[in-house]
Amino acid sequence: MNIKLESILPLGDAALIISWGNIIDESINKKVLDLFHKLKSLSLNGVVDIVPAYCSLTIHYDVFVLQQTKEKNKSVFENTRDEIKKIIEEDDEWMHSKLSLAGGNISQDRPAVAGVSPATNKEEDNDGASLPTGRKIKVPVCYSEKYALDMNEIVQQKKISAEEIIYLHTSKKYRVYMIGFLPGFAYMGEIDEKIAVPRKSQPRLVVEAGCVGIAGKQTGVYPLDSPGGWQIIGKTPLKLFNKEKVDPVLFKPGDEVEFYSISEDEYSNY
Amino acid sequence: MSIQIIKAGILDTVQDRGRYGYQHLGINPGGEMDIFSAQLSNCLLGKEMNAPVIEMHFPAAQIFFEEETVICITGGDFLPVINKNKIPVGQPVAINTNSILQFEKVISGATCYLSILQDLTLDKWLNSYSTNIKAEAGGWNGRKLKKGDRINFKNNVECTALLSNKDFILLPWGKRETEKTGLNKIRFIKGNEWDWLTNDAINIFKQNNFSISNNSDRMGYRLMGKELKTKENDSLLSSAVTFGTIQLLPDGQLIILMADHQTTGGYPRIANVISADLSLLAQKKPGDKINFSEADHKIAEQEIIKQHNYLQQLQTTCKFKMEKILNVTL
Repeated sequence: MNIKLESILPLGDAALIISWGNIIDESINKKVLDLFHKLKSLSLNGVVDIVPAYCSLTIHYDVFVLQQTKEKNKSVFENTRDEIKKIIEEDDEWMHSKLSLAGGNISQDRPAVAGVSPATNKEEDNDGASLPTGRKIKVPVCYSEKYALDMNEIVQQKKISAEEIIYLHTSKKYRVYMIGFLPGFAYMGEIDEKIAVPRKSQPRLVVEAGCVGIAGKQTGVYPLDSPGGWQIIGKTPLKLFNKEKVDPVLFKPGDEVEFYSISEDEYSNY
Repeated sequence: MSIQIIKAGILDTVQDRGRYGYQHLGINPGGEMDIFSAQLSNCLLGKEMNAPVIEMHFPAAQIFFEEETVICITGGDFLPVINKNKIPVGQPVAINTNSILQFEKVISGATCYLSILQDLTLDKWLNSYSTNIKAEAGGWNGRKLKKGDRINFKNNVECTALLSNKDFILLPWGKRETEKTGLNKIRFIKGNEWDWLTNDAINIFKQNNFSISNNSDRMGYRLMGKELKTKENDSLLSSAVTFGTIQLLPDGQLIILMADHQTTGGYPRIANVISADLSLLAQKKPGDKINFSEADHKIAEQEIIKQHNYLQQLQTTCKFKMEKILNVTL
């Protein structure tokens, strides 16, 4: 696997974006997450946030902290970029040693994540970043008319039955490529072309927490009530966001998610 | 002892520097809109600069002080009064028990900050006191302040002698005069998708005025101006954005992401406002006009470091003065 780094560019004067192109690709996304985990584990001084996306990784930093340790003739950006480049160059070697990190499992009756955190006494590990990647999470979804607000629209648009839509949506395992938009909103892909529909032209003012949606070849679940434009095909009784938990968010980048269909009764009794 | 909200403002929230370390989970940093002014209010009281403050827009809250303390108001000038008597912005004021602080009208700016010498009893969520309204967490019960809210002080500060029965006393120090030049000029550095712009669009962006639309809030400022065109209509995958990111919307108009921005976005990021100018931008209100000028990346870094150094020195000096005037150790 030889994935070429495309660029490291500034995002304003307090962040930089490491980019590997502009496509949805599992191997590129894996590369992004590998570097994400590596940088997290290094606990770099002055780095305040590291944000993985489909094919980019953004590092937010504190200019004031980093200027104290930078090389004199370089700007904080140049200095940080060069440091990151060095780490990426060491990456291949490191890749082999980290294969053992994969694994972990969450079953449907234990959706809470806090319990699977590896025991550790390092405080910064409590933010969820240290979780093993590639966990398998099963998500119950009620696809009945009551919750599938846009099912008819998709049926008409794609000339396909609701049963088939449900079958196709539940018959694949999806990768969580990234989290964004809302706390815990997972961008998952890729869904079958036969059910891929664009976002609604008029977004809803409120989409309720738990609603399962489709946008292009992506699928996702709203963790909170929010305005939103994804086509809603069902609803999960799972709580994807819980502010009371040390680790408030269920899905993590790199997780593998599978949906399964439940009845209205099962939904209400969940 | 406490303060009590006797009339709520349009959007009074507790904020600090923001909630960092959770953007990979989609949890945005939030925090103060005008970080410099917020930190200034703390520094003038000799408090730790990232301590939580109350951020207010106009109309702002009416606040009843059940206990004497020292306060400092910074940022926008909303004509603050204590028991109907005008008090200055950018200067610490000792305020007596049973006094009412209110704000009469907008003289300048869009958001103001109230720092109180005592620490307040607030909710810390994921290492920050900033109010995340969407997640209903942090600050004061995860929401904006309402009539009847009573926020307790964690400690007592004795200023009876200083006040000697007056409603309030101005303390003899304040902020330095700010430069009055270039007040509409917002400096930027080029963004990831700068090259998407046509030459015409680049000229428009650099030379024209843009006005802040009514459709602006803590999440973002929408701008109104001449339409900007791109060379191609590429679609962009979502990736990270930040406070000050200027995105080009499909209709050719711009939005500048502000404190409550989402963690990621999918519109072309044509530029980013430099950190040092975010304070100026945060004080712009709907109808105000701004124009953009390109800044060197190194200058942008130096400017924000300069602001930070100024605040740090100010904090040290004011802490010393405050301890002396109150005869306490803070």
